[in-house]
Order: sequence, then C-alpha cells, then structure tokens
Amino acid sequence: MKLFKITIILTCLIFNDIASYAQKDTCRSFIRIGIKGTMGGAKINEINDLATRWMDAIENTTNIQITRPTMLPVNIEYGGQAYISMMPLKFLQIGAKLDYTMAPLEVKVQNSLKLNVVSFIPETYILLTFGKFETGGGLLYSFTNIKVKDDFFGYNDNWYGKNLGYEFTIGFTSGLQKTIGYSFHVSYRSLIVDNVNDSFKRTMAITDSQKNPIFDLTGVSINAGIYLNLFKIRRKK
Amino acid sequence: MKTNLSIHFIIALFIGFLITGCKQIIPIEEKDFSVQSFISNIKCDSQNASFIEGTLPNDSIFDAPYVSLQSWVIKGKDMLVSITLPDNAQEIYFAASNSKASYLGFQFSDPEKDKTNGYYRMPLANLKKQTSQLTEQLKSTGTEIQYKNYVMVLSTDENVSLDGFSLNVSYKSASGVSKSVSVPVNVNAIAPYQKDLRLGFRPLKDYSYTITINAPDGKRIVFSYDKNSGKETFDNSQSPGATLTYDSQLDANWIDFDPVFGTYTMNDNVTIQISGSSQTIYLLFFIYTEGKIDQTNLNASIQYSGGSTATGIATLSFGYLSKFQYFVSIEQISTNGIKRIPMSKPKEITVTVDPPQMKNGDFITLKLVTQSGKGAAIFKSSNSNTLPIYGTTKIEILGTENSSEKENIKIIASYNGKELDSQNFSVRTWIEKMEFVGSGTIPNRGMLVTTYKVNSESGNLADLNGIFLGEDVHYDKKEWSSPPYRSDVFPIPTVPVYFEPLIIGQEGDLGCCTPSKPLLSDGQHLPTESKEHPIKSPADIFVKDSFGNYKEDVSISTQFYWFNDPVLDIHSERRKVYGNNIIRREVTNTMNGWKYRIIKINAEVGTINPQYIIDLP
Repeated sequence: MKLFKITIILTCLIFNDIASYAQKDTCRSFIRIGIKGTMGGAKINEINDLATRWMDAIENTTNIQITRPTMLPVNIEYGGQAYISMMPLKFLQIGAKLDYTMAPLEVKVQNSLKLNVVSFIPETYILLTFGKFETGGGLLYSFTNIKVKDDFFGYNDNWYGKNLGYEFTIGFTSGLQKTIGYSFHVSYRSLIVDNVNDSFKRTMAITDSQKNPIFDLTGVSINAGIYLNLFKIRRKK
Repeated sequence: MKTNLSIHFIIALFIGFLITGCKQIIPIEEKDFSVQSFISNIKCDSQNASFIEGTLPNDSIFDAPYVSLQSWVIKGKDMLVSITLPDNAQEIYFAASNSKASYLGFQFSDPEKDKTNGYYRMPLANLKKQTSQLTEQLKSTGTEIQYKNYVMVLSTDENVSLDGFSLNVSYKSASGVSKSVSVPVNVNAIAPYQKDLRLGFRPLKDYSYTITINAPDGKRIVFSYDKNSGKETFDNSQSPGATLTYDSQLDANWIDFDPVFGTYTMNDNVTIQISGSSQTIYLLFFIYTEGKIDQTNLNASIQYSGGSTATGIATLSFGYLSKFQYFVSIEQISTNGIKRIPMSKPKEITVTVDPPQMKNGDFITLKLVTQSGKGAAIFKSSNSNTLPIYGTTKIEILGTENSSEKENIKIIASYNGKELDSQNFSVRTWIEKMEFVGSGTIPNRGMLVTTYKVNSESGNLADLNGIFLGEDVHYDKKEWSSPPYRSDVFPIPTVPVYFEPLIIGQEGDLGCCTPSKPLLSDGQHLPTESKEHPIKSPADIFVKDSFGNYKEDVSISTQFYWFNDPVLDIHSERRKVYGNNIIRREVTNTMNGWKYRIIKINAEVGTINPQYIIDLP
C-alpha cells in the first residue's frame, strides 16, 4: 500500500514537472476543483425483482391479493460528486473524484419495503480537452450499500459490496481561462457488484442456485456543476 | 513560469492521499459474529441471563435437555422457548451457531465465522416452578426421571431477523454438565403466541347495570352504569393495563386486557324496575380472540329484590386455552410396506399434532414400549424410550434389539396420561444385499464353489441371527441325459428344488455367516452328486455310448438366493436377495478331447462367470 501511495505521489510530481516546462503557450488554469450534482438511471433489475418477490411473499403469507404499484424499468439515482483535476497539458486533464449516489425505492402495501442503493465511488479519470469540449473516462472502485428496511417481515439490514468499474464521460465546460466556470457532462458507468455481504459479513447467495447474486448498477447519468480554476499559467514572455 | 515547488508538492501529496486513502474514509459498519449478534437477551421470570465469554459448557455425561421453540411474541424479536430439564438441573446455558439467514430468496452464511463466541448462563434456583403440574404428569406415567419445564423468552437485537441459526443448549446439575442439543431457529416456521382476548358488551341505556369480568388469576375488571345519573364507572385497579373503548359501529363497549390462560366469567347484573307491563331486555356479549376458547356457558336469571325492583343476572363463562384438546396422529412405521425397522438405522416418521404448536408449555409424551418377548427401540434424539414433543414434529426411531415376536413394540403418544395415538411395529434386521466375493474348485469332486458376502441392513452381521438363507433352483429338464451321465444317477428333484435353508448365525452344517465364518460358500456339484451320495472321483459319473464315445450335452439351471424372517414371514415366504444365476453344465468334444465344463453367470450383474473345466478320461 505504501508503495502504491508513493507511486501515485511521484506520478503527480512528474505531471507537475511537465506542467512546469511544457505549458508555456497560453493562459489557463493548472488545477481545477469542482462539485457536480448527478442524476441518472441505473438498471438495477435485481432491486425491482426484490420488491416483486417481497409482494409475492406477502401474498403467500396473507393469502390476500394486493394491488401492485407500477415500477419503472430503471431506478432513478441521484447524488453528487466532488473532484479535483490537474492539467499538465492544455488538452489533458488528470483527476480524481468522489461520487456519492443514491437509488431509493419504496414499495408500500400497508407496511413498506424501503430499498436504497447507496454508493461511494472514488474514481481516477483522464479527460481530453478540446476547448470547451471534454471527453474521457476513468477507473472507479465502488463501495455499495444496499439498505433494506422491511416493515412487513421485520427485516432491516445493510448489505454491502465493492467492485471495480469504469466510466466514460462526454460534455463541455465554460473553459480553462475563467476562474469560476460550469460544467455539463453525460456519463456512462459500468459497475457490477457481485460479492455482497450482509452486516454480519455473511456472504449473500441465491438460495436456489447457491450462486452469488449480481447487482448490475450500470447506468447513464447527467452531471452538472460548477468549478474553480486555480493556479493559472500565463504565457511566458 | 517559475514553479513554486513546495506548493506543487503539497498539491501532489493531497491528490495522492485522496486517491489512495479513499478506502479509509468510507464508513461501512461491520459487526463481528457472536452469540450476542443474534441473541441480545434471555429472560425467565424477570430474571435475565448473563453473557459469558467462552465456549458453551458441554460434556457427555448426561443427555441433552429437550428444547422446543414455542411461538414468537414479537416477530423477529422475542420468542418463547420451552426447555425441559431434569429436576436437579442448576443452570442452563445457551449459545448459537450455524449462523444463516434467508430473506426473499437470498441466503446469508459464513462458515468461517460461524463459531460460537460466548454463551448465556441462566441459574435456575430462583425461577418459579412453572411446570410442577407437568412434573406430576410425568410421575403419573411412571417415568423415573422427574422433569421441569421452563418457558424462557429469547430476545434478539432490533436489527436482526430472528431466523436461520441454531440454538445450542446444555445444562449443569450437581453431578456435571450435559451434552448440548442444537435446535434450528426459523421464525417463519413457528406460530405466533395467541395473546389477544377482548370482551365486549352492548350498553343498556334504560337500566342500571354492572359488568364484572373475573380473570383466572383472580383479578377483576368492573364496569358499571347508573341510569339515573347517566354515569359510567370503569374500575381497572386490579388490572391497570385494561382499557375501555366504545365501538360505535357495533354499539359495543370493548374491554381489552392482557389475558391469562384459564376460565373467565363475565357477569352482568341489571337492576330492573318492575312495572305493570312486560319488559324485554336484550343482553349482548362479545368475545374476540385469535386464540382458542372452549367450554362456553351462558346462564341468565331474574331475582326479585323487594319492592318494585328485581335483579337480572347473566353470566357468561368460557375457558381460554384451558383444558385444550390435542389430536395426534403417528405416521405408520414401516419399511417397504412392512411394519418393521432394522436395528441401528434410524427411521424418520412424522408425529402430527393438531394444533401444530402446543401452547403454554404443554407437551405430548412419546413412549416406546415392548409389549411382549424381546426387542427394543429408542428415540434417537433423546437416546431413551421417552420423548416429549411440543407440536407437529419429525422424530427418529432407532431399533436397538431385534424383536422376538411380530409387532411387539408400541409407540404411544399421550397427553395428561391419556393415550392419543399408537402404532405397533417390529425391530427386525434383514439382509440388505449379497455380494459375489470369489470362486474356487474342488477338483477331486468336480465342484465349482462360489463365495458370497451377506450384508446386514444394520452393518452388523450378528443382527441377522436367526434369518433363514436359502436357494431356489429351476432346471430345464427333468432328468440327466445318459450318456454322457450314468443312467443310474439320481434324478433331478422336483422343480423347483427346495434346499433346506441355512440359519444365519448358527454354527455347523445348517448354519452360516457366523463371526468365525462370515462368508457364504455354495458348491455346484457334478450332476449326480449329493450330500447323501458323494462320489469318489468325477470319472465315476460319466459313461460312453455303444460306440465308445461320450455324448455332447448341455443342461441349464436357474438359481437365486432368498431369505425368510421366521418372526415376520410365513414359512413359505422367500424374499429374493441375489440372482438369478445361470448355471450351465456342458459336455463337449473339443480339439483337446472331451471336456466337462460348469459355468455360473449372474444374469443380472453379468460380470461374474466363474467356471470349472475337467477333462473326461
């Protein structure tokens, strides 16, 4: 772990040097920090399946046919992210961000079932910048919590899993020169969490097949926010 | 640009730590598995069990206690556990293992962490004798060991579903620690504790009256109405939790309270002003429960009180789960349709109780009794001939001694000393299978010998003692051909040939399969030889024709082995255990001269074919 940290720090220093010597032709920022609000849709069919099974179980238990609510084929997720980018070259951004997303689902049949998929997602990314246009991608590592609160069967637990994923982003910003700017991006994130434990660290498996369930959190989101350009580099006279 | 190196270094350091240190800042709450994760408390008579770090006390000196999950009080949180212990037990211990949970088609388990970490200890000295009556019942059935029954409340953490783990229980007496018993806990498989009971009545507006509810524990709840003042009085001083509510839809007053099991009475005393005309008074009582009531009685009368006053008295009485009646059905004990079980091989049957979960610490006693002769069986879980059950359950019966008489062992289910159901069966161990072991020859007698191993259902050959083992042979012809055999040979016996069976476990010529000689050997003789007429050499039985040649001949017989249980079977019963074997005897003229050949082929297995060839002179 120490070696990994040192490698990252050295990498940052190398880019720092590149920034010192290579960027001599324009007035632009060197560091950008920003925040974004995100909103999107993720498949998470498994969550909808869980809600359906819950209603099936209620019907089996009570022998009463319940009126089933309509469920969307995707789960709406929203959240926010904070990021910091470094621009060693005019057309290149390297950065890290921390994403926090929530995808809540509540089904109510007298008693309610509340499901909430909450993910903390640190990510490193590279963006190619062409003026105001940006595109790129990154690697992410998701810490996903699936909070289950079932008032009917009295089940209340927090399942969690973590896994690697990746993200592609395309969008635009108000530029490199302004101190305060805005950004708008559309992102596609591929993330599958397939090793889920409950709060007692017990491994989750599908009872019938004894296989690990797969929670596919892949989805598309729209991100918009503001940023701050710091450490502007000016043309060298 | 002049780079400020120190600022850039700090920024790089920050980014590095941000990337590499994210894992540490994610707050994921994790708990280590332990007993306390599943059981937050165990309580009995307001006495809490204490939690102790360590391994559940467990020894092999005494039998494990009987533990039964009764019902849940608050689903997922509190559960009633009924435990039956010997009278001299001093402490009881609880632990948990096999942590598994299931939820909507998912299962959670972790065998690595599935280890008991700590246990609960409950001293029994200060607990009420909740089950003295039950102990007396056991005395009345003649059980030597006296038991006490305790109903304890097992509570869980708020966030944990009371589901999918095993409760391990042992106890300590003055003499030592018992074995532990493991009971699977699954809240979905047990019924709720029927605690609801409410009584109601329709108010009388034109009369003064008093409603009195007498509970089995002696407590009273009184409601009274004064017609003149219009005042209602509700006295719940003896049952502070009791409430009075008016139901406008039913036009009824409901009295809610925590019920106890037993007989309730509800009296309605109505003051009646006698007038010149007749009066009709309608009294309406309500009983609401999801539990069971019985012995409901309603009496009403009017007594003259003097002057122009009379008192109408109506009394409603009923039993709330008192003298509850249970129905028991024991599944027929049989193996392949015969009422028998072999020794050492547990037989699982279902004892169905209606209602399926008994209440209030009640239990049904199962007992195995040998009615005559020899023979014995026990319950596997209790390792004795008695077993209390607390509702519909599967039990395992283990034969420990073969019966000397047919169906001489009886399983009896009784409640309060009254027999509710019974079944008779035998413990008899039969041959499970025979296996071909090998073959050999006795050259001077022209005999092919095949050897078999007889396997007992119980795995112990001695358990087959007394079983008859025989063979049955069918020949394809009625007499031997001559030539090649001598004409004065003994004829083929009547088809089928019945040989005197051997008796397993018996020494001597008529016995077989003894510890000193565990294998069964069977010899295929030359056509004419028998025990009564042994030959000196194979050449003695072959003759040539008038041309001085032997004659080619083939004879085929079919053989199978059978057994007969002298206790359960009629004498002629033959239970096929191995075969058919094809025994082929042939005399052929080969390039190397005349040969006699006998070959034994298992028609079903098809893999054994020992043979024996001798040259004819």
